[in-house]
Amino acid sequence: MQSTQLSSLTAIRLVAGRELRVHLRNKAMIISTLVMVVLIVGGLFAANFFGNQEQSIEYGVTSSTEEVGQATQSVLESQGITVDVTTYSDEAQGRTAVSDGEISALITGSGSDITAVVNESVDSDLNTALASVIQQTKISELAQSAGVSPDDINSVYSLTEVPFESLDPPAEIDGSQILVGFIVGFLLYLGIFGGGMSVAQGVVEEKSSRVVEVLLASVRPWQLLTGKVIGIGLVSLLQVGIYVGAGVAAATAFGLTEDITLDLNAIGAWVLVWFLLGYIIYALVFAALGALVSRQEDLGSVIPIPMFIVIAAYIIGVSVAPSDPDSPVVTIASYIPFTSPIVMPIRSAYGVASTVEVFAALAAAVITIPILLWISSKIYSNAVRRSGARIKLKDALKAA
Amino acid sequence: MRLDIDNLTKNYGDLKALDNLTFSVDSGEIFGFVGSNGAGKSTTMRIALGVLDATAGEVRWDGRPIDFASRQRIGYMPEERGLYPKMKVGDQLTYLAKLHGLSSKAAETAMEEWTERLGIAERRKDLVQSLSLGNQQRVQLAAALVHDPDVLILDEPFSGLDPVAVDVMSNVLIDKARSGAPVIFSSHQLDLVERLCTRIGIIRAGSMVAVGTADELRARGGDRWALTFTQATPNAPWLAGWEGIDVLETSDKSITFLVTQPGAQHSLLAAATAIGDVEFFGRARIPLADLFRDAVTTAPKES
Repeated sequence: MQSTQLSSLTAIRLVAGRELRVHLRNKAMIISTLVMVVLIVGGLFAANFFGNQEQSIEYGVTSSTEEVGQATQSVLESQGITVDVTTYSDEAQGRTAVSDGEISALITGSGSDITAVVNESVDSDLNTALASVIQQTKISELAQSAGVSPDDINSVYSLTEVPFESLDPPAEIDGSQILVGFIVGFLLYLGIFGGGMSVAQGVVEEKSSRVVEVLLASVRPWQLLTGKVIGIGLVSLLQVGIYVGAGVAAATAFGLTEDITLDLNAIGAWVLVWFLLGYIIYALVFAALGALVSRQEDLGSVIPIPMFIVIAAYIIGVSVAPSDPDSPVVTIASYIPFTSPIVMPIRSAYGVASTVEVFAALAAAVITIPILLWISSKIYSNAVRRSGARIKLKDALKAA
Repeated sequence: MRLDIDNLTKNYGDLKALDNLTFSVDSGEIFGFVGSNGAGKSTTMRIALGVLDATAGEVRWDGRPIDFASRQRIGYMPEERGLYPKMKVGDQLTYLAKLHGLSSKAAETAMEEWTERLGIAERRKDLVQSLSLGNQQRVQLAAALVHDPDVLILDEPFSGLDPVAVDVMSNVLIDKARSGAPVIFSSHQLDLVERLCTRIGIIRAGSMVAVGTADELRARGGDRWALTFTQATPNAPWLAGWEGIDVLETSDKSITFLVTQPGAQHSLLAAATAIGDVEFFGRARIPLADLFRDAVTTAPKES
């Protein structure tokens, strides 16, 4: 039996390989990933179903109400409602059609004296449209009798928006951007926080089971740390990749991409890039903090601060940004390496971050990683071998 | 090949966990490490493994300070057992073997060999946490052996084992020593230590108070003799003072004593035969437990 000293690369590969195997075989993780995929696909399906559901209305007119019927049709169609109008020369025939349910209403009467014959009650959209048409007709009649031209009246009616001059024009975000931004923020939050927690729990598991003492006889602390972060990172990347893939594929399949200007593939790719950066940053923080305690129960005493920051980033991204994407809080958060991985991609989805801004935030995050790696491996190396009571961060940094 | 523990000192603040501890274990020796709880046995072993750093002193292997590379050749069983609870026995052992530099194939073979030998071959596919404590201990020993180490350092390998497992473990240690590896283990089971070990070290408050073979340690206890009558003899001759004899223990029937002047025991025997029927007269074997107790309670603390 030949055994030689491991190269660092081999040691890291072995440690990462173990993490991969353990996590990929973890039934709870596989199930939660599948559930998440179902939620994403199902959510998009529901959004598509309810968002694109076509409203339509069928009604009949008599020969004397044809004009009113047409005016009502154009009002309804301007609201995106499909209208099907049938003209009945015989009113009785039209009434039968209503009671048979072929049409929802029959417009009878003449001039501005109109009655809608319905089975039970009038459809609210039809009611509003019809009422406005009758109003307009009546006002036109009144105006005409007062000597005002109906066209003038109509032009007054056509004024619906006040002309304005904006000194600080707001970013224009449409509904689909808000939805995409929300999903991006949620996936990143889930991936970064979930991955970080896995790392912290893995570190504590090794400490609490004391297996770390056996491991450290053959691998160095930094190799163990790096291998663990890489292994769990690959698993989490795969997970987030599956979510993004499922989301983009489902959105495309349901035709949700047709009327949005966003490039979902590009957004998906950016999510993965930001996920990796955010994950590495938080994994290093969580690993160092996890090494300070010896029991899973004590993890709660060391992680609240980074946990609070991730949650804050998420909240800024999905609740402040949609209403005020240019707010200074959002802008600042999109540059700080601890919050940028969640906030910047949301700003990108909203189209309020320029390429220069994105790359500046990326650079800041990338520069942070080696610094964090240095601090984290120092804390981890010092703390991981010491079991028992919680170790003070100060002591872990000091001991060399 | 020889493992030297040279003047190890470990301070935790004001507490001296180890105080200039020195001993060495030669190739092929089984060294029994005994001492009260908290005397420093585990600390010594953990320093040798690099899990702890010494405040002063060093551990040498083959004359050279032990380093990361030479530590890979140690088989270690920590006091607090260390295994991944949610990993299969076989996977775990193969993983640990690979971490010690074995190829995948060699690691697999070694895992199969040791699980077979330690009687846990049936449990290879089971999670460690589903095994009984005794079997977990066997897995732990397999973990220490799976990379065919050149040195064995085992912290209380026998605690919690049934007699069969104790025999299996003992044989493994003996074989390993025969193949030339220095073997160090700590234990509170002194009979076992006496039976297995070529040499014994007694540690007290971080210092070695006695090192040697069982016989050498006994010699430290003086020339101990015992005399027994067939029946109670209340007015036995030892009640009077005898020159050259230190009485240790007496009863109506027997006496245990130390001979401080060679030959003095024969005068006592003569006096005894004159008053009664002597059933036994000869050298008394001192139980290691007594030696141990003496060593850890009466030896002055050096500092």
